Amino acid sequence: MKYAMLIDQTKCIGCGACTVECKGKYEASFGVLRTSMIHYEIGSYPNVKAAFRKQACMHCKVAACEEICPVKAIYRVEGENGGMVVVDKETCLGCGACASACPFGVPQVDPGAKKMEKCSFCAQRVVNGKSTYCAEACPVGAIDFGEREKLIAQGEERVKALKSVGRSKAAIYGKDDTGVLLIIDGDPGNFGLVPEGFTLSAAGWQAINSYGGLAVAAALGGLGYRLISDRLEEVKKEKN
Amino acid sequence: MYALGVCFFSVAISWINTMKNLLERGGIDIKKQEEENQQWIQGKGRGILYSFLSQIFRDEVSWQKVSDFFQEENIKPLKSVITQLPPEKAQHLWECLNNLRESMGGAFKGKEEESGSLDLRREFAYLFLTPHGVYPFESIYLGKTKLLMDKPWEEVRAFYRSIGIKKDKKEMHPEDHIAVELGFMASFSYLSGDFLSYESEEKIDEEEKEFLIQVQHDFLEQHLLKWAPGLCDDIMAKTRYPFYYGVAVLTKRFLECDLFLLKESIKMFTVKID
Amino acid sequence: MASSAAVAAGAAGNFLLSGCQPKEEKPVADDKPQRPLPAEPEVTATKFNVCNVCSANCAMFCDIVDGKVWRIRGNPDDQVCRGHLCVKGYSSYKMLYDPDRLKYPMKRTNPEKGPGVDPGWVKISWEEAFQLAGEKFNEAKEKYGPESIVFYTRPHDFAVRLAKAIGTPNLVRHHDTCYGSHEAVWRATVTGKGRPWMLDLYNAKYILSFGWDQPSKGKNMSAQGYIHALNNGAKAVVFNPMLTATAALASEWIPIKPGTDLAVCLAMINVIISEELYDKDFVEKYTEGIDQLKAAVQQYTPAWAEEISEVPAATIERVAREFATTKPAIVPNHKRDAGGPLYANSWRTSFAFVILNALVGSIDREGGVIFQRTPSLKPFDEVFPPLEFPKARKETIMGKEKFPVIGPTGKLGSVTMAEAILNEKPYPVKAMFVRKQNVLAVPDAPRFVEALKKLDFVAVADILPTEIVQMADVVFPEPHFLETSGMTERIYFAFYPQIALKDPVGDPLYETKGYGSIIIGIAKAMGLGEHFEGVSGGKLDDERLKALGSSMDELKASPNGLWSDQKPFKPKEEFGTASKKIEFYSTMLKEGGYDPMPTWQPKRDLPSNDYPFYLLVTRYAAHRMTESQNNELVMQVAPVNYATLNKAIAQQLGVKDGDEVMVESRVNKIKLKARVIEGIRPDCVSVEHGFGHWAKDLTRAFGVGANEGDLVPGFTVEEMIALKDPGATGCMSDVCVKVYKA
Repeated sequence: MKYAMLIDQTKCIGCGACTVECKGKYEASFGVLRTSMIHYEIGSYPNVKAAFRKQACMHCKVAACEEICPVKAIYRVEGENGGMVVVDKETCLGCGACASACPFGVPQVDPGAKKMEKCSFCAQRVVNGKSTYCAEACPVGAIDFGEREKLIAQGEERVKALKSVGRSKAAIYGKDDTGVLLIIDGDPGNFGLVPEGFTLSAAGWQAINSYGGLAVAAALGGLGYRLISDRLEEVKKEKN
Repeated sequence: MYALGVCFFSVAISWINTMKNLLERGGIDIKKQEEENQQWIQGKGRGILYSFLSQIFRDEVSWQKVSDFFQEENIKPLKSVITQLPPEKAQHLWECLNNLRESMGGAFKGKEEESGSLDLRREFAYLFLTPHGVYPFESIYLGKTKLLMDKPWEEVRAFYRSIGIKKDKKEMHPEDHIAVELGFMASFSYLSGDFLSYESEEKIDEEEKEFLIQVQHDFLEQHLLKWAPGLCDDIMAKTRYPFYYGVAVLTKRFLECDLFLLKESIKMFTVKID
Repeated sequence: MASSAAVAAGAAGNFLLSGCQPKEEKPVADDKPQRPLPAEPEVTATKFNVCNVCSANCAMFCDIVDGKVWRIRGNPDDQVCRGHLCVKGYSSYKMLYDPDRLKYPMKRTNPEKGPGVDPGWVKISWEEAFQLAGEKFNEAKEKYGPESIVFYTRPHDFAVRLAKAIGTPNLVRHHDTCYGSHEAVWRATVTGKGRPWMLDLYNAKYILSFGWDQPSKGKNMSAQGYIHALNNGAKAVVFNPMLTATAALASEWIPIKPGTDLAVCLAMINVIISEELYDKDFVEKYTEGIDQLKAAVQQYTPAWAEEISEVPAATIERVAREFATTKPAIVPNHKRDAGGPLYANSWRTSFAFVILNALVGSIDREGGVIFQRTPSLKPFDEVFPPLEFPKARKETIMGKEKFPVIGPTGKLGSVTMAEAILNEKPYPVKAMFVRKQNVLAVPDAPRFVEALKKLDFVAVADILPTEIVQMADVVFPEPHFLETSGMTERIYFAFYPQIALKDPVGDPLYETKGYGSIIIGIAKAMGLGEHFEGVSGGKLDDERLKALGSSMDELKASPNGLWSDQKPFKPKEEFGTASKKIEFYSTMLKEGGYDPMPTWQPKRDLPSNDYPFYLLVTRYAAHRMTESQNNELVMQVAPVNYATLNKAIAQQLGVKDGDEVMVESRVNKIKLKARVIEGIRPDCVSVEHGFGHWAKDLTRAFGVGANEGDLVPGFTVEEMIALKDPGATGCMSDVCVKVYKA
């Protein structure tokens, strides 16, 4: 991905400007948010710290959702400015396999449309050289949008600055794994993030894929399995 | 008289000049239609009923308004619409009309007119102006946000636009308000009726005929019938007065019947052209 | 698309059923051409407007797509918003399309009033609405005197003129629930007029907050300024019983005991003065009374303050020293902070803020609290010279004449209004005109409902069918702010005078009228039309701009929708007190019968066996008071309020996260879901403000959460006088509560 977002937890006031701006621009059922705010606490009173994390698709380099999708509805946008992971709603069955596979718990099945809903990195804007809605909305500059390499350099500067004022746990998250970069002040686990380097080897994905059907079924339980097969039947009928 | 109230659509682009002439004539030359020999669809009767319903949903009713509606000069063309329906449907619609007329009596009779209409005025506000009642907008019924001017509103506007018309500036309601949608149907009913009555005298393009009927058919199928029956059900569930109950039943029933009539006349078109 | 889906589905069916399929054989949509992305809508027009959600009035661009607002953006040239809006501003357009909005003037036909009672609305014409209001107001005026008519509105020139024309002195204001303490203190000690609004956090290097929590509330200019300062290496120390976002982002969070900020402030003043760390140059040139102050605060040692506040004496000393020696430093204050109208001692705390800021030379200096440089707008009475008004009675229901400091500003009365009406003190009130106020905004809301029931006639101008609309006899529907035109000056952040244009986004939905027209309509119906001869909002704006050497036409033609007079910032050399200096010993307070210097006083209600918890009131960034709970977008971000408890104490109470609990004070009780966290003092329970709507007509807001204001006692003017608060403010969270499982 040429472009990235750098989301700085140490600047985020958790106001939800990104959430409402995004929600107003994309159609989904009430309460289905492509990006939302999660409040985390570390420690216990009175030695407690708190921070917000913007919960949205991380646009992983190797995306579990993309790999597991039984109908390849999840794909990467092509082109120079592409690379973001998006959902083809026409193809999506709404089975929820992606939701169960995502290490960040991002994808949601919109109960109204019965389609998977998640952040698209404003692909239709970014491919045309524009920034994302959330980055443009953020009043405090906690979301930066730009060329990945520049943002990584900027993030490293920021981390250095934070460390210099005693915030020893400050780190940049996602440099190797995700299209969205985070600046966090704590361990990834403190903010519901999988440890860095979560990207599986190709062989690892192969292994998962070779048991793909079972993996989906196991992840969703019997219901999920039925859901998928029922939906496939429907689609078949529609075709005939 | 009802036609004047509903001709609030103005032609936006003159894709078809005759269209404009027809629209201007719509509803004014009603009298000429009286002797008309209905071949496929009765425009005037439908127009009268559509515009009556449009007005009921648009604003408070008065005794005058409703009793005017039940005058013979209006009922007669309505009857000829009903006779075009299969017996069962015809009887049902007729019952709806009678029920409404009776409820009207109930709402006004035995009381001073003022007090009778105060009850109905209160009910109008309760039903259509406060959230106790219903939101008479397609956007609310079919949209995701349950806000005004959501996607369905865009689609209604796109529909109007596709046939070259747009809402008049004087019209305060959004394009997808039930009164506006019914008004749209009223206008086009008059137009098609008008055009039919002149059929033998002015050789009107077959394509235009079909177009006018097709537009009404599509609008009913793509818009009104998608949400108005739900609206009517909600009114039936929420109203405390037989009058609005009657209006809701009549509207729901009539829209179904009208789709039937429109489908029939489209069939005839097809036969004729073939 | 359907066919490709089907192909893919068929293939995936095999994939699922076989259970073991090598990857390369997965015959899914690999070879399909690039799939189309959703199209970005084409913006058909962009209008300038000004956000009216809060008083920051951020200037904005409204992008219209085919007759509908698609997106709202901040105007980058506006000093307040700097190109970004807050969550409330971004979501404000959804209210425009709220189907619950008031659509036509309506009158009540059911004489019974109260929560859950159907008013029996009937649609009426504007003419009839004005006639009705005119008749009823005149009736009250003739029978009971003009003072029996009360205006419960926000400040507005037209309404003030109407009240004067009627001859009523009763203009009740909400400031006693909002910032009356700050107003009174700044007036008495610095300005002789009102309080400053501008916090130059952008240039601050040390931010010392006592309950000041604007960033958590998403307040645009302060959130931006705070984060900017922190990025620039400023240090922020936050005293707050709760770990809010402001506290969490700060360098240091100190969970102080509620209502004891004054003690810490006094001890810090003591440290700074006795260690001579203050800005001697500034203090000498611009302040008076340092010697008296020095003597007065000697008793307030850090050790003394530790006992009261539970903040270690060493911390108090250290922070005081850091604050005094890191420049520029600021004690920010806005509305509901520790110096806002929260506690009986809040005005003293606000006084301590003024002193702390003055001691470090941060009053009207870069990086400090600054007097906004506003354009000198021609007064309304100059544009439209008034006729002679009838003489109004001196005595008011607010007791304006009994509060020498805040009284002359008129910024008081909402806290004592319910009791004044119910007790008919000093005389009976019969009719009320309300605009942009709600029942839920005052302390002890149920009592205010009783007061409203007692009135013969209530007229309300509003946008949504709120609780107060349910109590009305006639309602005047107003347009949403995006449908209005006009202009607004920059106040909350203005280094130089700047005015922003308001241009409607399109034709108004529904039959609404602007507030000015409503006032004029009522005036005419009352036979007072001559007071508004030739008066209009458009003319007022145009005349004001002309007096500044511009015009409405010129403003409309400006490329950014702004009028700016970018003169350089010149710090004030003189202040508005009698001595022209910042008074540490305030003569105005002394003459008014108040303590001339801030001395220690505890808050009113302290924890007891019956009511062991302090009540904290917080705000969601996404919500605006009680006005936004019907907003479709906002309610997806902050759908309900909670009783937030400390984890340890919740365990003791047997309360788990999400359990329903009762929060009960000495006046009322409310039911809420519990939210259990670590970041709050164990002796506190916090509730977000704005919820608990009982108007069924607010379909999204109805029945969601509860109103914390119900827990707060209201009081009489006499009780207010006894509090000896020059701001006559509402003790908006000075109450203790008990919490138990529902």
